[in-house]
Amino acid sequence: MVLLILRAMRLIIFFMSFFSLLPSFADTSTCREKSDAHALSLRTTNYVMELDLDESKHQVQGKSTITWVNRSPDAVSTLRLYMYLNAFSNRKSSYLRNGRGIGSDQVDDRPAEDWGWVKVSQAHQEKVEEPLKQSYVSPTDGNPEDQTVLEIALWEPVDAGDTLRLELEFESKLPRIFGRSGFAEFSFMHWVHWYPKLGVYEEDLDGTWGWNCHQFLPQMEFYGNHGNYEVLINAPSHWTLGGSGCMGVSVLDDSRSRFHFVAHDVIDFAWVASPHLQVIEEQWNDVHLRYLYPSSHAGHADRLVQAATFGLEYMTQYVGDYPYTTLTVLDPPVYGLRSGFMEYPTYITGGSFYAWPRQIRTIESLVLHEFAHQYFMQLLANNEKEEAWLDEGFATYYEDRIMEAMLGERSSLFDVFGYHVSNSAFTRNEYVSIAEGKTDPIGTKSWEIEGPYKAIIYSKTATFLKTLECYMGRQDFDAMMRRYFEAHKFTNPRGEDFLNLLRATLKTQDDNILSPHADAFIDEAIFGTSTCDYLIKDVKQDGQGGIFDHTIRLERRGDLSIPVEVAVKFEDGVDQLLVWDGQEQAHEMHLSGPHRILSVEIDPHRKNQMDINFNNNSFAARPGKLGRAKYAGKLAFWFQQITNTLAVLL
Amino acid sequence: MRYVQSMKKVFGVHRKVVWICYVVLLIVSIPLAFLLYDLFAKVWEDSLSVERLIGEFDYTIWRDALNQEQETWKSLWKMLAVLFPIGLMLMSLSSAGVYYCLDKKSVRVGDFLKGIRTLGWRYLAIALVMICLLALWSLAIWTYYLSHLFEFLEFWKDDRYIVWLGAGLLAIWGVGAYVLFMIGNVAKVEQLQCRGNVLRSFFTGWRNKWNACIRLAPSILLIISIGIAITVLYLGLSSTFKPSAVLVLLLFQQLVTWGKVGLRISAYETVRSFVVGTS
Repeated sequence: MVLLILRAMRLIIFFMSFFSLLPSFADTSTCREKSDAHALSLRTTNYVMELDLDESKHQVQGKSTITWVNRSPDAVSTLRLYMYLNAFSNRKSSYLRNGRGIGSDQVDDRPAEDWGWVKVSQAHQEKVEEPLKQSYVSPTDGNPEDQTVLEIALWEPVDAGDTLRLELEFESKLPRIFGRSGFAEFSFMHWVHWYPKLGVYEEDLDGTWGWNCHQFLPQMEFYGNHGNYEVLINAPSHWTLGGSGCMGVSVLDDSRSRFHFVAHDVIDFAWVASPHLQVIEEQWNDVHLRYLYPSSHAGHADRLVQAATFGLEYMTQYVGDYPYTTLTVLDPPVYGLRSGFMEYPTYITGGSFYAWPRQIRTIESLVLHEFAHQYFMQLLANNEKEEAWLDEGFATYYEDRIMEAMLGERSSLFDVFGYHVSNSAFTRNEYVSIAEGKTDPIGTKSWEIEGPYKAIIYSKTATFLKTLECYMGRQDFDAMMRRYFEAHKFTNPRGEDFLNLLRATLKTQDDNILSPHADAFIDEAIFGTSTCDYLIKDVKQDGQGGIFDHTIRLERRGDLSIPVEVAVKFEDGVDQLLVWDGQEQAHEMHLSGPHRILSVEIDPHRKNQMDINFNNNSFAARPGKLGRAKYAGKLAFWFQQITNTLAVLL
Repeated sequence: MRYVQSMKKVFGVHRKVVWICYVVLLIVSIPLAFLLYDLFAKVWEDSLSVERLIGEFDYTIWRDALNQEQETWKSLWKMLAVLFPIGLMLMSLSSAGVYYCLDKKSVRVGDFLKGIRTLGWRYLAIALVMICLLALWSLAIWTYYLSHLFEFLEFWKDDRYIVWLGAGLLAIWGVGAYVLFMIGNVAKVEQLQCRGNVLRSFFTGWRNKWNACIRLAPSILLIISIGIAITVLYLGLSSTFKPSAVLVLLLFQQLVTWGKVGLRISAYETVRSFVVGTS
């Protein structure tokens, strides 16, 4: 009898456990990553999280199981975790203290419920009952008030090659939205940098192993190992959720459901929850696309769809395969716009307004920029805090390229009544507009940059890459980028990895005029602040006996030197293409022949995009006047119109 | 059909007045055009960029010029700071000549100048009051919208409401500007008949002004709409011109200007004929 009861109990327990697991299996049946069969990355850090969302308090109660593989030769006895929501817990955090963080000017008079935090209430090492000891550290700026990096002392060190299993109980509370993470009106919640997340234990450039886990400072968002995320969220059934990885849903009761996210081989997990988002689902090859948007943006949802699918197609063709099965794009409502313009693994956020004109293509450029980050930040997971140019600059470069492939070279960003601006011209302009003396090297650590961050990190890098593409030829440049991608995908590449490949590739290009001077150019462009401006000083033509002696005086302003082509056009229609290695500050070219020079132009194909002024690159012996007349007339016309219109009122 | 009659009268009988006003406008803008022509020569010197200006709009040429030649561009702002008030003053004075000619059914230049001599300063005074009222009205409307915009963005559920509010405020601002236009122009017409105190005439006779506001609204709105349509048509057509058609573009622009000067005078005539007819 006892045996029968025991057997019956075992059966009941079996069925109970089966059914308790059932939702987890059932709701993920449509949610399989390509990588289920084999790991794409080393999967150093993996998370399983179970969360209860308290939507009225903008809070989650969570349990997290982190498994971490120690791939160092050290026995590791402490852990460091990102606790980035604490940047918004008070005004003493390093993020808000220096006034540079997004929203840091809006902290005064903030009610208590508008602040946010993340707290670990319990931390346990596997097989040890005693909770682990925690303390906050400030490895980046030493601010003792900052609580964005948590150090946990382990009871037993993790030996080289061993796996640690860490159990955490935590609570996260969103702030009213500052930069990206937070809640807004109408129950909009954007959960980014919201959970205790492990830093990266790595060997630094000096060969020392340790945690690379910086505090949260402005512009410093990502650095992590690739791994798997399985996140179960208990939330209201009628809400729309979206985020990293694929999502399945199982109903728990009348009002609540369990949203089950699975993301493999990614470096982070972010999600959005709102009762007011609509969804469009699309398929591109084997990638399932979800677009989340407010109803007022339905009129331009097609623009997001087109941009994302074009981006997938383009990056797959020119950089490498998109290895995931999902991509989620959020077009946030205006009250949640501060969550926009951002990238997370397999999840990106754009930004738009109702009735945004189709001739102003910022909706597309934002989506494409953030999508390009799936490659540069996520697949090639560089340290954004120390070398942001590797992701922001590269993403900007590809944003320019995709925009021009999708919408035309001349008018990819703006096209109204014949006035058009291309995305790359706009990017270059941001770089060119940096005021003299207000710049920093591209390679500067994010928190040390004092100049205009976007112009330096995004635009200067993109302009540098476009210059390389022009000198190398697009085909060779693309081949190099594919090699870079294939060699370093699912790892944490450093700047030197890219630069070494670049230098090596340039050395093999015998016909590239940049090759002999590449090292100096690259060093100055990345680690220096010099600019370059090539110009024609003057052109002299002396003729005797039907033969003309021509002297062309060229000059370089700024210390960034790069070889340039010089095109000379003669009266008889003959063109001559010369090369100046560009190394001296001034240079003279002497030519002679039976015909006068019509024009001279340095860099006629605008290969050197880093030249800060193209207008002084050329000389015309008989400059036309119609161009000047056209714009003088146009501006005078608008003066007439404004005066006449105001005269009506006066 | 008041606007048709006004336009017929202005573009038919009083075409000469349109020409006079157009020439005044042209004379004001010619120095600007020449100064710009010289300024562009300084900015681009003898480079090929000048040639490229003939072609399609090149953002890079313009941005590099703005970035690198900031000192040179300052002279443009100085130039505009002088020319713009002069232009407005001349427009205001010429409106005195226009009203005088329309009132006397004359197309003589002498009468135009006589109108300026006798009414010019009064019209200038009215224009100054109008500028102040228009500035105050604009501040009242747009300060509210812009200072609350971030609040709207964060606390309004639907951005359609924000756009509609903007459009609504634009409409309200437009109505206010229209009322001011009517007040100012009825006051100007009254100056033709009653040479009394400018301010008294400006702030009296509200019934007449209010009647003008209501009854002339369709006519004036139509004239304004035609003006906007001409501008949009110009923008659309000029962007399709071949790069080499620079001279055609310049002539086309002046044709547009001439037409819009005529429309402005038609609006004056609409108001004048109404006020004279009802007084």
